[in-house]
Amino acid sequence: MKCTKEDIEIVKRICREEKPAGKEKINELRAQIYEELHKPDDEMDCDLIDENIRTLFLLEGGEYENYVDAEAGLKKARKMAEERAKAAQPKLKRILQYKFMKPVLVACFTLVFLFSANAIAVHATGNGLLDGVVKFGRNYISFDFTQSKSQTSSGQETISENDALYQELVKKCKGFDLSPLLPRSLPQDFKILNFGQQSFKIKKNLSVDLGNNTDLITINVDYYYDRNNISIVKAPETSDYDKLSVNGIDVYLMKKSNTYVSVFNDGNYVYNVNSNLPYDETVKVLKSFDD
Amino acid sequence: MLKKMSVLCLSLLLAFSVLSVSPAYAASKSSEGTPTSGVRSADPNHAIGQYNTVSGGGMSPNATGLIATIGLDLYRGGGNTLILDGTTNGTQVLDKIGFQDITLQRWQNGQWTNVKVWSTYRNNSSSYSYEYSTTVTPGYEYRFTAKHYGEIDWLFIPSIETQYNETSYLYVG
Repeated sequence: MKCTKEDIEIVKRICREEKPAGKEKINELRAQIYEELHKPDDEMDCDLIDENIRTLFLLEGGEYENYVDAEAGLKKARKMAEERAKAAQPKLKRILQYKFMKPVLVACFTLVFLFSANAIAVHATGNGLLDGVVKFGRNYISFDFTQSKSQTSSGQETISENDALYQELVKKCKGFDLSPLLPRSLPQDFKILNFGQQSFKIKKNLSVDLGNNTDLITINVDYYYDRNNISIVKAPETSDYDKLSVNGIDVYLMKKSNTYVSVFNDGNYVYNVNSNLPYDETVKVLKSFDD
Repeated sequence: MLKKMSVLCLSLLLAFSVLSVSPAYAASKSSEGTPTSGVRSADPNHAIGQYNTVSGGGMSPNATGLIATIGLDLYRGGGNTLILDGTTNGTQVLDKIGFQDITLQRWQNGQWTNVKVWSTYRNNSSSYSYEYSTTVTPGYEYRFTAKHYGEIDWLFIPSIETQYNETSYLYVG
């Protein structure tokens, strides 16, 4: 029988272990085994090693029968050695040995790292790491890695005159006795997602959501019955903003997260228009506000 | 005669001094005195929110990006009526949008005392315009405070943004 290197290692380990009973004989047998193990492979007497191992087992517990052959003895020895080695390992190391555990742990650590980094970024800058790349909507999540200024996140060449939608908006507003400025240019696939109207003692309010599957423009219009009650739109004091001139009206444009927020007033109307379109597209929409 | 004239002059002088040296008291009209915190409204019939976006209020830099613009205004109605006009505009359609802890306060015993506190929200909307009117006890300075509220839930984890706002105060006589 030929001993493999692994078998030799196991035998060596057994020999190193101290046993209280029959110490002298045991040491002798171990010494013999050592001697054989240190010989070159070709000269090694595996039968002697096997015999000695069997004797060692008999001395220690007497569990082995005479017919136990060398291969079976080595198998048993290997199993015992493995079990002992396993028991000696730390619990965490043993858990890590499961094949599926490593990828799961790596994924968990990655997620924790990303969430932490994002939280720090949000705290420091007010913007998440993936702002502008990932858009979360009520019924969708979209990714935009292009950040192209000439396209929306839906990837379409967009802003152009959308007369059908403009006329529909005009009609709805007239039904509420209002004639506010409305955008003539919008993405062609935009629809009216919501049209809300309310009458109050001080004012009338219009809330319009326009959008497609991924992009959204919200228009909020307050019409004050008494012009004295209007808070005239002023330049923001604390934020970075752009000032646009739209048909002679000052429009203040600010960025908040991945949304462009604009405020302006015209006569008795106060407007707030929010857009998640890219900057250039948002400006095109704002500049097309017309009555 | 000279004595009477002197007393009259001194009385007039005293009255003039009191009125000119204490303009705040004269302006307050309230028996509770002048509020030592908050801003007096320049317009006796319209008090503007101190953090209104349209009035120059900026964006909160540490916000989560849910609230786009805010507005909170207090108007004098007829008689002793006060009207609250509030607006919270979201940057997108939000699961919950509105006003948290709207508080009507009056200046009493040297501090702002809550007269009424409540909240109001709307679900699945990008904006919430809210109006509330109430009749108040005359003789006090009044103001409104509120937190503009926006919430969106993603994978059952709510992301919430609130922005505090308070109107300047005005006198109801």
